[in-house]
Amino acid sequence: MKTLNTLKNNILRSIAVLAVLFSLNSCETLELEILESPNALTPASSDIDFYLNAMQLNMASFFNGVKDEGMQLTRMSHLYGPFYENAYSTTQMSGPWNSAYSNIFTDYNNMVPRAAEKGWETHIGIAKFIKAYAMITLVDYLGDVPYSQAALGVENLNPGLDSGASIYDAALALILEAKQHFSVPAQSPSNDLFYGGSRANWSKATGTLELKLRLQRRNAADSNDATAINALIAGAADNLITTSSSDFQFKYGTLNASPDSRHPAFVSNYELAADVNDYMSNAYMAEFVAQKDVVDVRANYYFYRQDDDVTDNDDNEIPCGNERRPSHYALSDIFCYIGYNDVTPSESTSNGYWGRDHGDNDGIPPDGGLRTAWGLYPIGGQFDDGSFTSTSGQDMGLKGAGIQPILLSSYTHFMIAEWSLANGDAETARQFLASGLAESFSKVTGFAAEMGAAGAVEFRSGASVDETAFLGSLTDNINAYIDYVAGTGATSLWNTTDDKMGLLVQEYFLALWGNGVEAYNTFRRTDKPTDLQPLLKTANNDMIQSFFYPRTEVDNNNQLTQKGDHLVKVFWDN
Amino acid sequence: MKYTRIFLVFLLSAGFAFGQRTVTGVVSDPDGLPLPGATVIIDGTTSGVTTDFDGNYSIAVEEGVSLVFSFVGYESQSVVVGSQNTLNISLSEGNQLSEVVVTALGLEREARSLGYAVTTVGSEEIEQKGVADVARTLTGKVAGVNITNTTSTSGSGTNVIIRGMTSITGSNQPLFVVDGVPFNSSTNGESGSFWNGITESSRFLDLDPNSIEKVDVLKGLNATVLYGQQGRNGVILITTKNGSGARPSAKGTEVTVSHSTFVNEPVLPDYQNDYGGGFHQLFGFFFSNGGPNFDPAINDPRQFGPYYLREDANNVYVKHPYDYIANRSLVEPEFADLVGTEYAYRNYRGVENFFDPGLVNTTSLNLRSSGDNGFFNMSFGRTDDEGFTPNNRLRKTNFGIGGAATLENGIRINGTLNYANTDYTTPPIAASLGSGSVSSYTSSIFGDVMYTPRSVDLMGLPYITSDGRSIYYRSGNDIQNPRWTAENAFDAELINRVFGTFGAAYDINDNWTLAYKYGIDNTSQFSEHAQNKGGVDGNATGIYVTSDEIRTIQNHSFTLSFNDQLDEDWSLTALVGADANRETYTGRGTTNENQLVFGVLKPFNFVSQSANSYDSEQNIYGAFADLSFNYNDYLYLNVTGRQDWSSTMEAENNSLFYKGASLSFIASDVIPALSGDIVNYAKLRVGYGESAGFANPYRTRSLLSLNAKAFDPGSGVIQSNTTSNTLGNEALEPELLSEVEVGIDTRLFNFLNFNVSVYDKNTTNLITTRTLPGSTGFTSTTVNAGKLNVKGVEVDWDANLVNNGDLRWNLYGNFTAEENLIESLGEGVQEFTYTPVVSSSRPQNYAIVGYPLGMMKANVRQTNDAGEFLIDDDGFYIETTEPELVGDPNPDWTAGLTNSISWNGLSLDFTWQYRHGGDMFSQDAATLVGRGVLNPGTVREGLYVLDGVNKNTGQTNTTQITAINYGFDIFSFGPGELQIFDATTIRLSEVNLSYDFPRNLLERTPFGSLTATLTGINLFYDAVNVPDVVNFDSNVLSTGVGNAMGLSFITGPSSRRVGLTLKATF
Repeated sequence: MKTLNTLKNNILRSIAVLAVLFSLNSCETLELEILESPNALTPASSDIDFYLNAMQLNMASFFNGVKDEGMQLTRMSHLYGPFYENAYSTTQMSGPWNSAYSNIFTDYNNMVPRAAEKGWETHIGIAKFIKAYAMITLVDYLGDVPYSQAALGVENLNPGLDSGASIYDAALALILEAKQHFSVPAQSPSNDLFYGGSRANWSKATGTLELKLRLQRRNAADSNDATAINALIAGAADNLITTSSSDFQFKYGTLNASPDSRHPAFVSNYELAADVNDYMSNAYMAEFVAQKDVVDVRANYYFYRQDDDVTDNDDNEIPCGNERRPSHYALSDIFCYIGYNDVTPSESTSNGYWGRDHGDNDGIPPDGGLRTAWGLYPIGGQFDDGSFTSTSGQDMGLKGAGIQPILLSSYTHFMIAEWSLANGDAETARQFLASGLAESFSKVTGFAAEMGAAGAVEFRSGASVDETAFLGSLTDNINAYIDYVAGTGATSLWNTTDDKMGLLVQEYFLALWGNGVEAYNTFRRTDKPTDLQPLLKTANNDMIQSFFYPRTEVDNNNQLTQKGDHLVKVFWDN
Repeated sequence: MKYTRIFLVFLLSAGFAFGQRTVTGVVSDPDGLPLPGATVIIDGTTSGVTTDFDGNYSIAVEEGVSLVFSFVGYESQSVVVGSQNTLNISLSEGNQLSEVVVTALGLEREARSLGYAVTTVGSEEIEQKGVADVARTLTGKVAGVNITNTTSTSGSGTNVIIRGMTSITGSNQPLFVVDGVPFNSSTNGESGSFWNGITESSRFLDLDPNSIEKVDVLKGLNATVLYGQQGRNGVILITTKNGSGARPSAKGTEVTVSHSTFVNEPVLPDYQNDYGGGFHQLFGFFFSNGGPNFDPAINDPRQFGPYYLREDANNVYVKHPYDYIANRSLVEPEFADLVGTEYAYRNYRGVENFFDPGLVNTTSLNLRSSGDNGFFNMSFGRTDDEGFTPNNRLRKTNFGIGGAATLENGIRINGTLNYANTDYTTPPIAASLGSGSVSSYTSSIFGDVMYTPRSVDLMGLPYITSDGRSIYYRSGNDIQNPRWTAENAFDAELINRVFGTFGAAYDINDNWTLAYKYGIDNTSQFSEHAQNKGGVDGNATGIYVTSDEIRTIQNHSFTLSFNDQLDEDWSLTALVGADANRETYTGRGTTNENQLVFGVLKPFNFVSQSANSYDSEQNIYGAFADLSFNYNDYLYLNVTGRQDWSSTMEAENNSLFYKGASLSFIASDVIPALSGDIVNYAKLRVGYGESAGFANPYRTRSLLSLNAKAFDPGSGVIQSNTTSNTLGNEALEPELLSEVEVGIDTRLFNFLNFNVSVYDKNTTNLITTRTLPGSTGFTSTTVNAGKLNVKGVEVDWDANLVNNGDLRWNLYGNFTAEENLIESLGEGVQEFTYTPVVSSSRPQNYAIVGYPLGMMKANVRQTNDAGEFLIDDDGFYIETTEPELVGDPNPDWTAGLTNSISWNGLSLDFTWQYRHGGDMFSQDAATLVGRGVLNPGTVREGLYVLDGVNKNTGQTNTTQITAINYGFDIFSFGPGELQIFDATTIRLSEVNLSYDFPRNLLERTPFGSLTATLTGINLFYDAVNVPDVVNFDSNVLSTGVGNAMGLSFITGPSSRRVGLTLKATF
């Protein structure tokens, strides 16, 4: 039997041992306030310039997220389809939607008040410009979207819709405010990726955005727009982007990792040798190389041919090669490839422009080293010197140092031309068409030099395009082209066509390579051109008038119901 | 207390050495096999001894006393000691009624007293099964526990779900408790990528199944209340041999050695052998197998177009694939000698030759020494598990020691210390839709190899250039050669882990015991993801990602327990205590890209580096009480309660109280009709339990994301910061789970044990990562949203069919059915998907109000108002843009049946498993058939007309399509509903044939026993509603450990293992 004493001693001893053990880590073990993550900063430690950098990068990724759809629908690039009703799933717009609201809007809300405290007007102006661009484009693609209740976080988890027209008004107000911000000298952003701190250029971009906005809604009556547009045009040199030195474009670099700073389309098409991901549009390429009696030198900059002849490949590599032209394709429509001979397919000819028809959703044959790729402009790929060799990987051309062409000088000229033509001034329209073409050609042919790598216009041994001849006749070819299309001569297309607007818009499309936003908008605004290649599988031309709301938005926002179909028009489209 | 009984035995057995008579004897089972570790106790006292390995005991007694002989699983027997000195006792089997089971916090309770179901799995069902993963050895053995392999790759993770999922976006994996303390069983996400999670192993892999004494599974919340929130998904209690005092050997030393060698072979699809690569019966070097017949007597030169060179009696010869490689630098000059040569168009059986059966060698050693005042145990295990995929290997070394001692002052101490070294490597096996992988981060070997066209000479063609680039047969070289992948890309994990316990207990007096237990578990993991430059998928410039992670769990618990007979009728066992759990995690990683010198995978050999880190810490502590009343050994009432505090929630919401109560009533002791020859025993039980769920760390505050390398415009890298898209939720509250469980345990006809449990479990205030509408300015947040209900039935039964001495035949079976229902997802939300989108036509798992969790939705075929399919002018289905419901991945029910037959020393047991219903998406089945490498019975040269109406004309569709189109465009890549299969599967999961060498044979050897066992794992299975030729195994999950269900994105072959084990004791 134990005595009471030893019992007590044992208890005390064991408690002491346990207490020592426990106290070794008791303090931190019992801490209950571990709420701030050590893995990120708190909003209070943000940096205004870093916020502005994020907004500029998001501007580029937002634009990148919408440009392809616009190009696909206007036959500038290939649409898989096969029908408009199922060409895109309801997740298609999720990326740009979230990029606009949860990145651009939220960062705007956090940055602007802090910049205002410091009086950093330029920062605020840029932020307003970017926010306005995103809002306008969301309306253009989706119609009515949340705005006044958007990006409020916990305060409103179910933002309702605002009308597209009211959002346009709100965006216009932001643009006009931005212009004021750019008019006062202020602290320059530490990184201005667009204009290197030039407030004058920002002011021109703002004016051009205003022109774009007002022109876009010209069919939806607004009494002030005409006056404002005319005023912008009258002072174009100060108000608008009229020369390429003030182009509003996002420039990429050549760094391929940490961080990958190259043009996204370059990465997906040139990362691996002979493994091109995108298909060019047959109809669009034909506009450059088959539909006119003049040479369009832009073809060598826009497209890179990997193969010299489509016809010598077997049918499984180019499956349409043994298929018949669909009955709803007119003979003037391109089918399968340029030079396809309906009557005697075996006598078809080809010049290596290997793309796809609108809505061709066939599986992918092993043609990654054969199909035509994006070229030098605007994604920073390879110049087409007629070598007809497969892409060799990521060291080609400008190595990805391309641009997102958001608002270029040529676009301004085309917009002014459209405005003039719509208001009955055909001669002014012709002049701006001609100057727009000139801007486009000089931009494209001077692109490598502009990006600081003139040597990227490269003629390799084995090239079928002769360097001296090509470069020597470059200016002549450009002038001949402009003359042919928009010359004063009686035989110019301009003077012979009944459909001047159709011609103007078609030429605008050819200048818009890389920018589907303006193409898609202009197409719906003008209903031109009228002779675009039909879908491969159907004659129905029930083109997408606006995109579906993102599925995650509809599923999680009880103020939103999905549109009935893809034919809902946006407010300015009538 | 866990060790009380054992220590009492040791303690007291020392005191009876003088003055009395000694009785010796052997305790054996009805077959005469000795029972080591049986207890022999002098009735009415706590004095006693245990039998040694040969069943011998020796005890000093006075004449006239009664000795009680007992052993777990056998009927106790009481014998009055007369004048004899030898007392040999044979205990009869089957009385599991007085079985002692381990419950929460290691408390030992009589099974009959429990108001809930506990299933125990003994070591013989776990050890030497040719599988290194303890969870996988439990597959199908416990009703209510659903175990899914992610793949059959050696070392890959395992999904364990007990009684259904109760959380939509939180973890549903159970708590592992090893030797009484929580054990890290997480799957560390090195890649952080959903689609690559399949490469990661589960950390219970670090346990050596051969060192496990037994596993107790606590399924219901009533059983796990004392574990607090950590136990909300059920608890798997593992007792290792090092930590086990429950079955002491006799005094002295016992050594057990076992070794097994298994062959691990892949179960491949039944490839067809008549056709090769191409499309539409035309030859081509394509990734589809729709080309001409191999037989020159059947095929036609025109089918080979420009490729045709000549033919002989056996083969057509075509131009060499390297003639067509577009990127000539791959071919010339290095392989110029192949250019222009002829290539035989024949069946090369590339896939069959690519995989090789692997060997699995496992050695284990256990040493145990027991004395009067305690025991010492040491275990060592070594496993070398070679996968059937080249360069897939798992190596494990486990070493552990444990022991217990009673100090002179009466304090009992025990401890364990274990070291585990796990080294696992596999080629990339990420989810794949076809060629390449879903993730742009990595390649996937299965995606590139499984449907290699029959005519591709996979093992004969060069696969790598001298500068390290992958080269293959397609002109665009756009498929990464799987042989290149196997040699040049890998995911690896190296784990060094130390875990152990220290416990001390003291009996203050006969009624009161004070105990403390400390547990530590430190896992240090080094992970690599690597691919040399020159690949096609993932990063072609080469990538090397490293991740160093340290996860530490520390646990303290104090308990004070009380045990007394209150009066004649009532006794009480009570416990109060507190525990504190601290878990910390530190992760540091680097991503290195742009490899300089091919083949060297070290950060210095890469141009660009970026770093990342993740840290977290979490404290949870609680206080608890447990009262158990026993009325006359036939009515038991248990009441428990626990209050928890968590560091992951804001102060006003960081604690929660939950409670439980259960009643067990031994009806057969009270109602005479229930203890006859028909019903021998009947117990009714009912229990209620609650648990909590706290959020993961750092969910309540909003963050600012800083990007130190945001962009380089060409003039240097710039930085950015952006408001995180994840919205913090300061109002977040704990979620609450509650469960009612009712059950009945019976023994019928003296040979059949039949136990049923029914439960109904509810979760409210579900902590859910909710997708926010982007227009809020955020894309996700953590909210309390939703109610979820799980109902289920579990049946365990066993029948002793034959028992006549030499021959015994037992049947054991289980049945599980559960139904899961989402009752609400919070205001205004009807559904959301919780798995990422792969492509709109492939399914995702959804949470939808009114449906079970995990419903699959994908794009389907468009129909008209009459429900007829719409067909386009080319004769194809038209796909919708909105996903529709296409399947329910939850099985209707599952069952297992084990036959165990023994005759003398020979025994045979085999286990069948059956899964009824539940849908699975199988990209494997779809593409293997669709690409034409299998022949599911369709005629290749035939034409097919899809059932439906032309969308434009409204007329019945008459447009013909080819078999190749049907397979490729519709079955393989068409709307997702066509790739969904009913996953009903029957499986012969395990067969063991073993022989115990007779004792008389061993007498002159050093062996105490010697057993040889031939084991087969997964010998046969059939997913009956999936085309037979696919040999599809439904026991896969492409998305790794988590809440996704029914998704198989080319997970590779299933594994079949056959092996021989020798086990000896000394």
